[in-house]
Amino acid sequence: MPEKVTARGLWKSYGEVRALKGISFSIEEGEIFGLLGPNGAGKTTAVEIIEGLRRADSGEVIIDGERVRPGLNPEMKQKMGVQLQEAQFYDKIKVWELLDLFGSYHRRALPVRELLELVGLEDKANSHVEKLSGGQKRRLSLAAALVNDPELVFLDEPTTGLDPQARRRLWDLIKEMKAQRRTVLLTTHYIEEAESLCDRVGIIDLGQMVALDTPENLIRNSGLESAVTLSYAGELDLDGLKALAAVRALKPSDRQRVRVESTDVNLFLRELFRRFDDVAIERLERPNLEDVFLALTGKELRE
Amino acid sequence: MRGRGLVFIKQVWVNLKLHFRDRMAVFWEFVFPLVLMFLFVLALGGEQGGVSLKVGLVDLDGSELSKALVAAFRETPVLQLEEGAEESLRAELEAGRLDGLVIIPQGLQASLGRGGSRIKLLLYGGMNPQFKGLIPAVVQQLLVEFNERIQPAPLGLVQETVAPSAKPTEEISYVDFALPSYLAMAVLATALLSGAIDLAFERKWKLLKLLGTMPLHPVTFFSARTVQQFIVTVLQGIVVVGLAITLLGAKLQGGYLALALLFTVGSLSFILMGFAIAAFSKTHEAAIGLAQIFYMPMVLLSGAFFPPGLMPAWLQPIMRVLPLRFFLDGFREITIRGAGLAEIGPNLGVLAGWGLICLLITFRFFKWATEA
Repeated sequence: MPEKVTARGLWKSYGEVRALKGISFSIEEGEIFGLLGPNGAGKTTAVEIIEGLRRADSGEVIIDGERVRPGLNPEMKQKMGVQLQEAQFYDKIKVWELLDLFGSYHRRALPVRELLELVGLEDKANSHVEKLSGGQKRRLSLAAALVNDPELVFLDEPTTGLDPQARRRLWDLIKEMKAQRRTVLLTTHYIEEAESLCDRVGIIDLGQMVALDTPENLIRNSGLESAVTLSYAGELDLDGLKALAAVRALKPSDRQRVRVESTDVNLFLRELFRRFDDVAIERLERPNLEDVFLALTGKELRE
Repeated sequence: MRGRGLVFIKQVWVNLKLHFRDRMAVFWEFVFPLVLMFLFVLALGGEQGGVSLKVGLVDLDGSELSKALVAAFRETPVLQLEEGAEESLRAELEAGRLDGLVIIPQGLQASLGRGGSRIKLLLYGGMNPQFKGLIPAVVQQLLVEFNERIQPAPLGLVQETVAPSAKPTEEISYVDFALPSYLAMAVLATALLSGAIDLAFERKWKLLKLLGTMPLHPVTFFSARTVQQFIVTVLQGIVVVGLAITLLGAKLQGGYLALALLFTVGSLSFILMGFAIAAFSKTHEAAIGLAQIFYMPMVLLSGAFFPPGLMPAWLQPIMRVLPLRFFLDGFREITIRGAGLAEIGPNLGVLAGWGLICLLITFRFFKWATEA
């Protein structure tokens, strides 16, 4: 896949605060790329430099082979769609008026009706923006980001502050963007969001990229172990269990349960069911990105 | 296929719709100035109301200094000057055909620098009390300006009131005098209170930042906004002046062309002032503060509601440069004295100059997004 966006060595300071300390990554065409990190990690700064809203102290951004210069970039802006964190629209504008107006700024615009159907706001076309719920506003801002049928979409914390149901609805919309062959850069501090949406995730902390890979690879390569809690009736051959492949440690929790830590849980389970038939899996603990993040930065992701 | 022109027209149209959906804006820009105008005109402009600014002038000194002073009086637009001999002017004053009489005493120039050089102002006692302060204020103001030009010691003013023997005959009604004040109040509400503050809020909401990610040229954005606000002010002009003429009996003496030009230049320069305030302010709080700082003194100090001469001396220099003053003076010159385009040229120049400065400030400071 060709590279859609390349960021090289981005540095940015605000006075004494170093927001970015040499971030580099590239986004392939058609993928959903996530920047995952706690609040204040530098995600928004990085995205806004790529969008051309801020000037990096050093480093460069290349989109479709062209260097992004902050300021007027009309051709670049024609193919970008942007959702900003916590941006608000005019209170008194009607939903269709907003999309129609934003569309008029671009050479190419999707029909308002199509946009509204896409985000499920068909019946809100004539509502004033101030009358929309939080989730509806967020969907409208997605529609506004798609108004020019962009090749490249930037979503800054698209679901922060939404209830789980509204969040899932938005995830479906973002997944649809991939189906529409758009390239998406999103930032988030939600693990599930990064895991369920992103093809690749860059973990960012204190202005530095600490890891970058697919969510699966990040977990697999983290060296973190999975754990299986088994329950059994009667006696269990603990020594035989310990001898199975990929077992690292056993921790009996009570007389009917044992927690097995494994370096390769699939291999272990295959072995287990070949040798033992009277055990049941009670709980399966797999490390997630949160654990990876904790292991990499020594920090909890959530505030 | 989507030309700049179409974007522009659409933007103006959407801006106008948004503007008129904002009830607070409509209140401050239309309802409030109209209510004030009706209240004051009905309270002050009744049967015995009316203010005459006819002032007699006697020069008993005949020196270079006194001639310069006379020239300064002639240049003061709000005074309708009548020069002549002391006897006859005094009689006019007592009869109420003059509201005031200024007497430049003999030996004015000779006494300069030795203190006590004063000119005398006699006031007609039968004047509407509401306007009693007006002529002294204007004369004070004139002296403050004149004193800046002469050294070493300034001229003072002695004031006396002359008992009336008759009522004044010709009069300028209060509504004629105050009409431009209410109009300016409305226009300033649009340009400063709505204009600057709306823009500042759009920055706070990151709406401007979002626009910064779209291929919308700032010049298109600002010109559409300018046209939209100008349309609002034209509507205000039509409503305020129209109602003043039809319901309150205001009379416009001068040419409509000069008036339209003055209104256009004034309104645009106030709109640009709003942009400059929003562009210059880093936060919306700062923009609200700055907008108020310009709005309140302009309304209060520019001779809109209180004669400028009543204000303390330290405020005088500020009042002299505030652009609203030039708008109001120009407006009254046209509507009351029937002045033409040539006579209000300086007023147009100052207003345009302010507009230009504000435009430059906007260009220099405006950004779609503030760096956090």
